[in-house]
Amino acid sequence: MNFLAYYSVNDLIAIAPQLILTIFGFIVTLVDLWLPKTEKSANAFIALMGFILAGIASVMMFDTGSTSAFVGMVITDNASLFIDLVIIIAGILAIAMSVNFVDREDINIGEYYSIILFSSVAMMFFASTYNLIVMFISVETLSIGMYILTGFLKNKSESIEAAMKYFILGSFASGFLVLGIGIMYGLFGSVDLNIISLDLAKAAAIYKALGILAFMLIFIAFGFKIAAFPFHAWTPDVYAGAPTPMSAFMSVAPKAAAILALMRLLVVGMHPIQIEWTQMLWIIAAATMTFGNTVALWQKDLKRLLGYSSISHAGYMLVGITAASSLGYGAVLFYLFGYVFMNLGAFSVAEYISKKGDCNTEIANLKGIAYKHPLIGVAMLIFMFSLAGVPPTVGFIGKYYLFSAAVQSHLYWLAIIGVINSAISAYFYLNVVVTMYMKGDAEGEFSVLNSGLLKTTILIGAVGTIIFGLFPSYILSIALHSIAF
Amino acid sequence: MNQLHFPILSTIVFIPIIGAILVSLIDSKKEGAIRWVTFIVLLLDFIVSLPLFFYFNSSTYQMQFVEKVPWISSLGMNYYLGIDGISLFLVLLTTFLSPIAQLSTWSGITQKTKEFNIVLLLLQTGMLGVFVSLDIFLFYVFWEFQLIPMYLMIGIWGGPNRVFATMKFFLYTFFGSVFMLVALMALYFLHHTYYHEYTFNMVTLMSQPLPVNLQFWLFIAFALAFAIKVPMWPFHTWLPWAHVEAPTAGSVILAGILLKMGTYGFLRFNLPMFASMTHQFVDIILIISLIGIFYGAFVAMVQPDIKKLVAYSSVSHLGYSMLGMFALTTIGIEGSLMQMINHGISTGALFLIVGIVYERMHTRLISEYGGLASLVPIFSVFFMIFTLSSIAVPGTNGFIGEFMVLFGTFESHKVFAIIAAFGGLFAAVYMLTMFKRVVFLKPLNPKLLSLTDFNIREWIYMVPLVVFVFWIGIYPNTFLSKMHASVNHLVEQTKVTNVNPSLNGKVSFDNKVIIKKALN
Repeated sequence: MNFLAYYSVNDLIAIAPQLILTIFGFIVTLVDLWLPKTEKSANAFIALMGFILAGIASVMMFDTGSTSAFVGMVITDNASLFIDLVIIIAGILAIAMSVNFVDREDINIGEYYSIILFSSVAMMFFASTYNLIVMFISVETLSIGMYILTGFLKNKSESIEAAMKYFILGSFASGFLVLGIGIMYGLFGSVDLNIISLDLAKAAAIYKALGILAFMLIFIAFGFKIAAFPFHAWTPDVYAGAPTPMSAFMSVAPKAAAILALMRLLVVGMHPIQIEWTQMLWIIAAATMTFGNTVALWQKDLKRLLGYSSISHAGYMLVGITAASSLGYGAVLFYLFGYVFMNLGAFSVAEYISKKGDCNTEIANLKGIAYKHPLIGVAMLIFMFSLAGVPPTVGFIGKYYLFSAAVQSHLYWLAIIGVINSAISAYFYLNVVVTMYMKGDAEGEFSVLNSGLLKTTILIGAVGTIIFGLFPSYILSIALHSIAF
Repeated sequence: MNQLHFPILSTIVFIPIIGAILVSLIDSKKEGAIRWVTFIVLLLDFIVSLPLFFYFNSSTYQMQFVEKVPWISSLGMNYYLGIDGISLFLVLLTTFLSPIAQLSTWSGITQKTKEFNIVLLLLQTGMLGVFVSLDIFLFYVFWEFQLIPMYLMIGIWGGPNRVFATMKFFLYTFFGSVFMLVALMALYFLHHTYYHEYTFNMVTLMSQPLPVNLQFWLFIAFALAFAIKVPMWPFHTWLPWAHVEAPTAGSVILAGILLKMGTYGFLRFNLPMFASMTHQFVDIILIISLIGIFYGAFVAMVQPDIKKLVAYSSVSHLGYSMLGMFALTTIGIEGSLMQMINHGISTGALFLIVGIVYERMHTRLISEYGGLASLVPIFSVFFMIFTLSSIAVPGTNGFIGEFMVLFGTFESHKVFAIIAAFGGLFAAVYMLTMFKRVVFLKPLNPKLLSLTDFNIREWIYMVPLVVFVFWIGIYPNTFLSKMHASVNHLVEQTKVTNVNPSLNGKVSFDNKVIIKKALN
């Protein structure tokens, strides 16, 4: 068989960011063998280099048109490059958070970084395909990476438990996914969403009904990945148990990939049953927002709070998808971009107050941090207001576009449910601010992890949250312009 | 139109932010320097705002000192500032009251002085931004932004129940404004549907009619946000808490400026944009305003705490402002505007007065006082002036405002005006009773004997307030003449029942009609 007849160099160019990350993943694995135990931080440096180069590659490839590689199995377009960038920024910030953390927790081994790199590759593939099998393979690859990273704190029982929970529930989700794909293939004889869409459009009623069933099975897996109600149950436990930098990474990167993949599935593949899926998504979006926010009201632990809050943010993003318009899809991409900064920033603050064993992240422990570390306090204030959606932050602009897309598509009630949820969420985000600023001065110790890199992460998060809140125009037009489906 | 050819409004809005950066650079132990820098910045802001008054062209209702720069141009959002006769005085009131409020904190705020002054400066930017924005989106950004510093101010420097008060304040206002957000989006898309243009331009939106059934929902959403802010009965419950717990400067700014954002919102959005709905809602709002006037007065009567009494009197005073506004006559609306300014001055001053005695005695209970007239005569005289202005005695500013409101209301709604006039009677009852018990009689509390009269700083910030009490009271024309053109235009706008008959109420957007049908 002539290999070159099917594949060319152009295929490799089309997946340049993924390729770069893969190569650096291997470099980390190899270099790690020769590194003495005290020099393991070099791994982080290599991984960072990988992310930065991949970032440069995706920026350079932007606007070069949609490229199809490997006989249509991988599609590199602006939307996937945009999500690549989100994943890369999340990766960079998560690694910067990790350097001192892994030292303190004594898990400083090369695999930590190489798994981040490899699972990022999987995420990128997940976001850049119309092929259900490629989606399945990449979702499995990224999940395995996430399971391992969740359980990386091998001396902490919560971490192991979280990994087990994540793994078992994740396997269930995969089962549904593969079953759905199987039915889809059985019905239409293809795993390519473009072809499925064409066949679904002209399918007889019974096949259409079966198609909807298959779609729902596939959706379960996606709902699980983005933590949408009622498939969200793993989220708080996993975020609370996983190493903090990985909770931060997980709350953004895989979600970003899954959201874009979901949009591809819905908008391209399931176009003929749009009426059905908008109805379904309407309910799921409303339930996800409401559930995430209401349960978050009772949280005492910062990481768990952010876990529930991430459920509600998935709900907000689903509002944008339910709107089913280019403004909605663009708004979702923009939201993900902003979410990287505010959410990773908030997790960095959680790490800032954590102690050895990755504990001590209760909200009460933030007491007085605003006066002992004024800049960290201000940064956290910015993150909390941004997550609650108060101007002039990126969280507000993002939510504004999501809800305005809903209004444009006449989903007034969904928009109203959304804004009421914003008001509910303000309560628990403000509670964090109350603890920091209004519960007296601190006697407690902070900054066990007083590393420059961690502080830089927090700073980048805060500056990004404000800058993209005040001047969203550029990123927004890129996000809107990236949506070509 | 920008007669100064200079971005004066941006300068006024952003001077406080620059000040905040300056203050943040000062060592937090140098409290004196921090206070002086903040005060000078706020004073400078006031001085810079004075040309607005002198160069204001009172013959036109057009927006003046306009600045317009594209902001998020892909969605029709601009950085668009400008003022007319309605916002002019609210801007000036803000720049005028802020240095006064700041001066009042010099001895009261001793903890975290640096943070306090930074928060105060940020608040100033937020409030000014609200009054000068002519782009609705920009307006909303400022509207929400000012919540953050106010929230911190009450929550950090407030009284014993500050956390509860600040949460209540934030959540109430935030809850109201999210409805405004949805309405704002709807307005934006509706405008595009009917006029094929994406814009947040307030001036354009004000002059273009919309179908009645849509106006109904938009009116309610905007009104809810503003009614909570005003606060109108029954949305007022956050106010006494916020006032009582806030530090003096916070109360002054809350009463003096923040509440005006609500009434200003009604004037800017509800009246001109949904004029025909305004006519539908007039009676309801007038009744609610009346209830507010009497409710505020009755509850104020039984308050043992001076500050709470003044807080409830705010509910009553703003009821007048709303009454005049929804009389929809030129005099009524001008009276309403005057009442906003008056309330800022008189109630602001009363909060300062309460703050002054509280700082010395650490109590605000009326029963702990008595006989101040003989102990601190200057204080008592000032107190009396503001009390009289608050109950609208002729010669003071309060009289002008209340008279115009009642006169304007009488023109269009006689019964309401007659009922409302009795409200003034009750105001006299609670204010004078309180004044008598605090200032006259014999000193009840032996601790009062150590009370000292005004110091120089207090003189400095009380005198300008008194000047305005009499200036407005004796020669209000200085102010009224500048409002006239704009208010007249507003009244014209509300007279035209702005329903566009050619527009069908049933909207059909470019896409997704099918989905909509499916969902219903």
